[in-house]
Amino acid sequence: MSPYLKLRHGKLVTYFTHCSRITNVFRVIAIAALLLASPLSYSMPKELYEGMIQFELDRGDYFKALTLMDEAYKDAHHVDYITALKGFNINSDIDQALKKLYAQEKKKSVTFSRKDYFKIGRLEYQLGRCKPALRAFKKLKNKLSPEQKQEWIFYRANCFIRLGSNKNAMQVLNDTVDGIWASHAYYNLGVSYDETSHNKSKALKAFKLAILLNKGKTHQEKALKNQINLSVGSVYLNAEKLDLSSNFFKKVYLDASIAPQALYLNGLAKLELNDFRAATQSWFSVKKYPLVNQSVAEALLAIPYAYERSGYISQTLEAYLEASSAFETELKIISKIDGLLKKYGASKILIEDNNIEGLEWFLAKDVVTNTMKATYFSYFMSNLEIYDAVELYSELKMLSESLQFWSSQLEVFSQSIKDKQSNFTKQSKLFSAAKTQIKIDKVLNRIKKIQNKKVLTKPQIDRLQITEMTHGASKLTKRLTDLKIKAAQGRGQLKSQYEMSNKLNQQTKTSEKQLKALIKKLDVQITRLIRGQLGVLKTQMLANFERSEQGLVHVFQDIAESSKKQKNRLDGRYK
Amino acid sequence: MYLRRFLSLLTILTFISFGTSILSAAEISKDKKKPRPKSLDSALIKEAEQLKKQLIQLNSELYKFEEELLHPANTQLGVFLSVSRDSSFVLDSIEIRLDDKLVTSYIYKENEISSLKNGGIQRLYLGSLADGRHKLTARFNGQGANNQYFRRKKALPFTKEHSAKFIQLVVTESKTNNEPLFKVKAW
Repeated sequence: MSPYLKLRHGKLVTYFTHCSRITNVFRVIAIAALLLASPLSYSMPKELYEGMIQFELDRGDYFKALTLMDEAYKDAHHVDYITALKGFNINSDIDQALKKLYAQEKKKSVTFSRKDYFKIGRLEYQLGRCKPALRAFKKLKNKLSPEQKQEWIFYRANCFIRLGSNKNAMQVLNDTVDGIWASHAYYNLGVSYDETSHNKSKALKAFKLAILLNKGKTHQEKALKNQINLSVGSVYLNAEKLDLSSNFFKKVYLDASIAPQALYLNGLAKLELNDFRAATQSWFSVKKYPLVNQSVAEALLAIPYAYERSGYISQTLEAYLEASSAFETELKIISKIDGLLKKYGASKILIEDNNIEGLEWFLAKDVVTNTMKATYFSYFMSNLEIYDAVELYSELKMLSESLQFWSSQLEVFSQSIKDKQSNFTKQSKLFSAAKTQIKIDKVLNRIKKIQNKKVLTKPQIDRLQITEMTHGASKLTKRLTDLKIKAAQGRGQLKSQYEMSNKLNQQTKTSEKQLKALIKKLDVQITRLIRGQLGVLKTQMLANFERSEQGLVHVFQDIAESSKKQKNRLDGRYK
Repeated sequence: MYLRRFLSLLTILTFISFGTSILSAAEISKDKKKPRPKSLDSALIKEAEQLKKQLIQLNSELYKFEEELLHPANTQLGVFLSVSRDSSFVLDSIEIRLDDKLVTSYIYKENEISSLKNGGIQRLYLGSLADGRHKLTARFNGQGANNQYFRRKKALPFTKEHSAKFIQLVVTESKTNNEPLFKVKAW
């Protein structure tokens, strides 16, 4: 080995020793920095922050959107804020906020984007105020994407229908429209024409357009198509175009929620055509649906009527007895459910999943949707007040779960901060900024010495990365200075974090209590509403029961009268 | 007489049936003119609204505190996703790997796709990362134009320095062949 190489190797060894020392200094600083990592001012780029809120708003997670919005955002995007409030059903401030918004617009202290006008229009529509909604929508003409335009047309057409101007609604819909929104708008127009006009041709035209625009592929499209077919069938039935009406009723799918109505009305059309057999067939098929649906009850009562008209007395009696028994059984179920609601409350019996011993007959869950619980739940949800109340219940439950999550998180945070505090004390005893500074200075001196060696050529200096080493050492000095500041602040920061964690934990627990109490109150009110609705159903079922009993009496009377006649006939006077 | 009764019921049923439509639960159902015999106490509704507002505020503070504590700005890494308005790519799912370890995955719903196309930005991941060189890999699964199925991987080597790092994944579309393009923007 040449002396040069020896020397070179010697220098290299020295260099590597330097390097490992430098790395050690880096490591000490890095560990200390991680331990003392303090929350620097958090600043996400504005574009990302605003995009995140937009994402939550558009996908309908209004709670998250509101959580993300800071005061600056709320001020700059007031329409978004109001939209989120409405979406999360915080309605008390909306009127005031909208008034403020309009005042600002009048003074021209604020300008709205197209999106804003669209949102304002939709808000006003949802609040049931069609005139301001139309005013906002008017400012959007020809400035919308094709998808937005369908929605825009739907709202405008519906507004005109609500304001009693079917003509204007029709004009709105004359624009090039397509898709489910337009189908809904035409359907609503058809309903409006049917209710307000004696001439049903306009209604039928609107319904037909609604069917044409409906592809019937998605669940929503299928549901609407069923609804349109039922409505068209009903219009034809009222106009005594019985064959046509039957054709439309038959188009309603048997798995649709309105299938019992369609089958019952189809039976009526057949009865009018004096096709008793087809009528009873249609009504028999309604029997498989739950009796809470009034169409099923009507079908049960219609079957004996059809038999009676056909002259089948024994079948008539049998059918009346069956109907009577069905109504009686349902009345017993209603009384039982009422008792359960009184005892356990609506949340345990209807809203939440529960396994109460002895109540499997009602609480049983299944993949099918026609369990007893599901049937009654759907029936109650058709009442808008109950629907809104249950929606509020689910929102509060979601908040309660969120608080429970935070409560457990905060326990962990507090423990972690405590550990950090004790580690901080240990590490700060071990860590000496002055000593580390001396080490860095030493490293810098050594680098300088190597640099000053005359034996080293330029390529050798490059290969030894002297410049990088110098740069790294200066970086270390800067990080050490930062660390000194952080070390000075660290204890205080950990203390304030610990206090903050405890404060938030306290707030969470208080809110949890408040929420629990409110949920309890709400449960009482929902139970009251549902029992009220159950009372309505009970009255209806009782009336059905009485009708079946009256029918029975009527048949018995007929039999009695006919047997009397037979006696007389024996006398020979009726020949 | 029975027939008359049936027909009167028919009219009632027809009237009821007109108002009920499933899709428009939010929109059309508001038009229904059903009798509303009882309703919730207005005091309870007011109390619920007040509590909701209070909880939004508290939740906001909790999120900020969690971020400060778990992902301080100097170690923070945020991964975001956006989709350009004109993109016909329908994202089914996405997987994010950091240094070859799966850190998050997400399956998209229809409304989330339209929200992204409307300018929304989704925060896919928020975590803490040590300074130095790292690799972010995103795997996109979905359908492009002509119902063609795509499974594309995009890798981004990056250096995390002593400040927060934000990476935005952008889905766009090639104007020449309508194929989806996956871009990365580092903030």
